[in-house]
Amino acid sequence: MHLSDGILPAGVSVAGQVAALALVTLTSRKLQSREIPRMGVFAAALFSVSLLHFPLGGTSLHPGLYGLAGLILGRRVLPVLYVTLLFQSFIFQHGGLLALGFNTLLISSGALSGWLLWDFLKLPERTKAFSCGFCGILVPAFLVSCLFLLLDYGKGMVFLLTLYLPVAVIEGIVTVLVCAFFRRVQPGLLLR
Amino acid sequence: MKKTAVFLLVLANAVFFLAAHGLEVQVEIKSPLVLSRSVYEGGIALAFASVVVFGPDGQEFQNGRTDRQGRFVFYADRPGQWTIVVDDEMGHRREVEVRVFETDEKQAVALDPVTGAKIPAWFRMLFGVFLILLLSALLFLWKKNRETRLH
Repeated sequence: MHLSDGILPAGVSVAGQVAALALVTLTSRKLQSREIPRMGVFAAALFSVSLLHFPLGGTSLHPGLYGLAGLILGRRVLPVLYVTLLFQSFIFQHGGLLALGFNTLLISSGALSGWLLWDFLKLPERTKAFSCGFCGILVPAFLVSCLFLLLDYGKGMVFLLTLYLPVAVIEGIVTVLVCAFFRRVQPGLLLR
Repeated sequence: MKKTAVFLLVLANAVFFLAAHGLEVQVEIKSPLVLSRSVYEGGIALAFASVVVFGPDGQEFQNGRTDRQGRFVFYADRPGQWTIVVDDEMGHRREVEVRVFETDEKQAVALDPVTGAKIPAWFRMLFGVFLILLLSALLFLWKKNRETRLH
């Protein structure tokens, strides 16, 4: 999910960087000091959780908890993801620096869809939480596979989506568990 | 809030013994062959990944795929700086430069552009978490100060 440099054409990478910075600026407006500790701790959690990796289908996959990040941080997830991906790129060479903007846009699509699902779905909380976690990984995977299709790169859309399906199910379950935990100990942390 | 913070920090550090899945390309010479072995940082081999080798003139010299163990071999027929590009076609790509010297017995030196790659993953993870938390704390203090002054 973290694209390395050299896969996207340079122009697309630069455009992605500009668009990501614009969105990060927009979503960071009117930031209040009380929001910062939650954003910081969540950025640290996202930074480390994507270092969990397991082999599947000849590649190495990792969870991201993007849907969970979206439902907890709302629009503030964009600056958090940008910083997290920047640190991952610098410290772990996990995704390219030039592709950072595009990676932020791709991954935040999952987080933002998690946020929207959490806000607008009129379903039991567990079902909503599962959908957030599930779509949080599958939406970016779908967009990445569309991008690969356009670039005529990679092993194909069906392969990529099939690969990410079990990860999406795991993320859905983890999101349900984490939401239940937060509802019990700190309900104010969840957006609703 | 305390329990939640502890939970998130535990989550942040639960992967203490794990590593990222960045790509690592190890290179060695078996004169006159250059052997590369590509693995994800956790040690999983990049099986059947695409490899393109560029010669010292910058032109494509050879292409192919790694074997099941992530190995790829090519014959470096002249001295100079060679580039090996490994791509798993899943968005992970790594370029490694190899300098081949003309000596009695050819020697290859892998010029890995990422100098921090040898620092243990757990240390880099802790360093990243520390930096993120430090930056958040500084931003919080600055914002708090500003809000206090404004009110």
